[in-house]
Amino acid sequence: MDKTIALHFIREGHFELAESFMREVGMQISQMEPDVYLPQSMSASWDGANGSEKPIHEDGDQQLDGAEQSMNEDLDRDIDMLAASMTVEQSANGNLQVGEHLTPWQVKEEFREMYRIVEELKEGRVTGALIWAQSHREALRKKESNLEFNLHNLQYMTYLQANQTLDALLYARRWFPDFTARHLPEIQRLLAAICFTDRLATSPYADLVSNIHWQDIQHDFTKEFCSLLGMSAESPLFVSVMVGTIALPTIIKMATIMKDKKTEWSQQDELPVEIPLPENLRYHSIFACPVSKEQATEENPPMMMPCGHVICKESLSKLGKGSRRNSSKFKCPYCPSESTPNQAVRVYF
Amino acid sequence: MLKVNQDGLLALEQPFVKVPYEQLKKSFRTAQKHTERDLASAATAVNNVLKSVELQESGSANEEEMSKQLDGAIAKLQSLKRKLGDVTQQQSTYLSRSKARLDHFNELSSITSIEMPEFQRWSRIRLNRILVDYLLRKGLNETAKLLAHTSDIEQMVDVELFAQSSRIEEALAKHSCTECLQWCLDNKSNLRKMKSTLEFNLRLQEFIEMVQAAKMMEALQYARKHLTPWAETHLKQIQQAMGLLAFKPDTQCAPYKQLYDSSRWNQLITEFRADNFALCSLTSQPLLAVTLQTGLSALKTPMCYQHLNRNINCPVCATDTLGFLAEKLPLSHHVNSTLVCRISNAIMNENNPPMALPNGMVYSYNALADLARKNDGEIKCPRTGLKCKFTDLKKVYIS
Repeated sequence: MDKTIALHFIREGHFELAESFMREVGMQISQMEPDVYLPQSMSASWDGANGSEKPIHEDGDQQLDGAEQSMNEDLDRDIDMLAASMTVEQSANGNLQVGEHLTPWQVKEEFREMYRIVEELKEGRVTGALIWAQSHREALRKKESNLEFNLHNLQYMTYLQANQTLDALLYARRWFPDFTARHLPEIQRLLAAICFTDRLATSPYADLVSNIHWQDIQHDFTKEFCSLLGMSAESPLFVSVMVGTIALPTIIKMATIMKDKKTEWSQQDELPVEIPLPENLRYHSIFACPVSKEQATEENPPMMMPCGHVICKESLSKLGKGSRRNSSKFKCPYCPSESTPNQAVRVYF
Repeated sequence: MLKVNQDGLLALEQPFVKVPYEQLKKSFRTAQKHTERDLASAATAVNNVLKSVELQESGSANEEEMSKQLDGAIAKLQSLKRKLGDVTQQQSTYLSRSKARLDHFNELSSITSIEMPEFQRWSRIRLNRILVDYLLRKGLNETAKLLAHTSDIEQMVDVELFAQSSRIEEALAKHSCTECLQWCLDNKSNLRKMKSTLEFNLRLQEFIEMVQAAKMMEALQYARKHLTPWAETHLKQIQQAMGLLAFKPDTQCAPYKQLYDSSRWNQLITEFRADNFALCSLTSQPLLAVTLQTGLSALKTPMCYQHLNRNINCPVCATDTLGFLAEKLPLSHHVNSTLVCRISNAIMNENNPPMALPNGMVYSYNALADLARKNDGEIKCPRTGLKCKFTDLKKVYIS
């Protein structure tokens, strides 16, 4: 739990928070087993890349001497921890395409870069982020990311707010045409905002100057950066808690209904209701057999009939039993075509 | 499009709004009490003076006495003014807090779908909020304050509340009941409504300490004064406590050995915590833990623990952190199929249908078409390495 929170802080770029958290928790944790706290692969895969590595709980004692130096060390250590957790994630992931070729050292450099750019964004400068976005334009476009456009958008609005209308116009003409395909309505709106430069805050375009956009862009940026590095795009803690927020009302409602009906939750190892999740939070293929409504398992795998319809193996053999021998034909429950159970092939989602 | 269950979410957040409201109520009551008491005494003073004036007319009064009384009344009223000034300040903080929190919820009313960026933003604030709550409950005050400050949610967290309670807990840990008894006094009527036994247990503990220190007479007097009021409900325990007088601290007699045991202090701390949370209508479990458990459970699939089926974006798949926490939680329940493409992580549906390779591996149409375009119509399966033509693919129907 503590480790999750610490990693979350680091991911969101709150180093001082992570610091203070680890210090406060550290007192309790260092007495426990240090291995629990250290990402397992860290010491192993790390020493080669960076000789000066020390376990985290020892570092804690050194914090007191040399404020600035320790500041840098802290940062280093935090990045190490994140990178280490990432290598753990990666090594856990057999089929990873991106990031595989990166050594821990490079990963660390990448993170340093990321936090530098985030710092810039915090100060209201987009240059660093823009350069990064442009150099990764292809990959970003494939992911349908709006990052680059949003960055241009912010830069343009900065000009407008500073009353440099001409600069804003020039900037718009230089960059916006690249994005007409996907962002035309937004571009129209942005340019229309010029009419209101002297009183933007009270105009119909007030939402464009909101500070929220700057916070959003930091998140967008780290999200894209991490996902191109082959890490989870959002902080895992954030995702889980958000899903929890979505799911809790449903669970509570279910609990009250169960209490009313005095029924018990029979299957302890599975939630009794389906939690509807948005598509971007779906991470695994779920195949529920349309005939038996059961989830496919290793023992009861999904089988595809020659017509392309998929049902689970148990349902398939039941349908097959309707006729006397296994080789005899039965009709697909979803289309008129007939086939035998032997013709069905296992599919892997 | 998935709708946001606004009512359900609001029901969850009851304590969050209720805390400043309860505080406001309490401070209003104190203000009222002060006003009534001080005004009454001022009024009597003035009345006395008036009477004396009448007497003076009849020629037998003491001017010095009168001015003294008036001065006293003035001083009282001035201190009342000062007190009320403090209270108003307090109340305005509570009010602004309530307002900030309600505004935060009001944002929800404009959010209709879970996919909207506004909902993400809202969830982010919520996460920070419940993180602070969690940190405070764990006693990590510095980090909590820092987080509240950096994420600009100081209006939405109750740092003082926990600061006070941790002060009392520390005192209890040092075997001192004074602070906690004071707290009991401050919240007397509410504790009585809850039928709390905290105060009795504290008194009992003080009594035990006296017996332990062999201050028998003192202990007896204490019992007479502080234990007897509880006779109606706790007679048995009082009898047992008095029985303690007959046993030495190193006794082996089971019930009395327990009474002398110092682990009773920890029980007191737990009891105080529970009562305090109940009083502020806070949940007994940190909201973070509850939400996290539900979230992990809703995300958990059998695939998460199968080595080859991991998805880097899935929180449960990270076995060393959240996956470890999720291990004992129930799996999510599904009656409908959702297919996620292994290549693009996109959802497979009518617009991007699932396609099967000859070996049974299924990927999304778009991802496969992309692969084929780059490689002259030939596809190499990322999982098995099998090579095949785009034309060999077969469309899959899952329902």
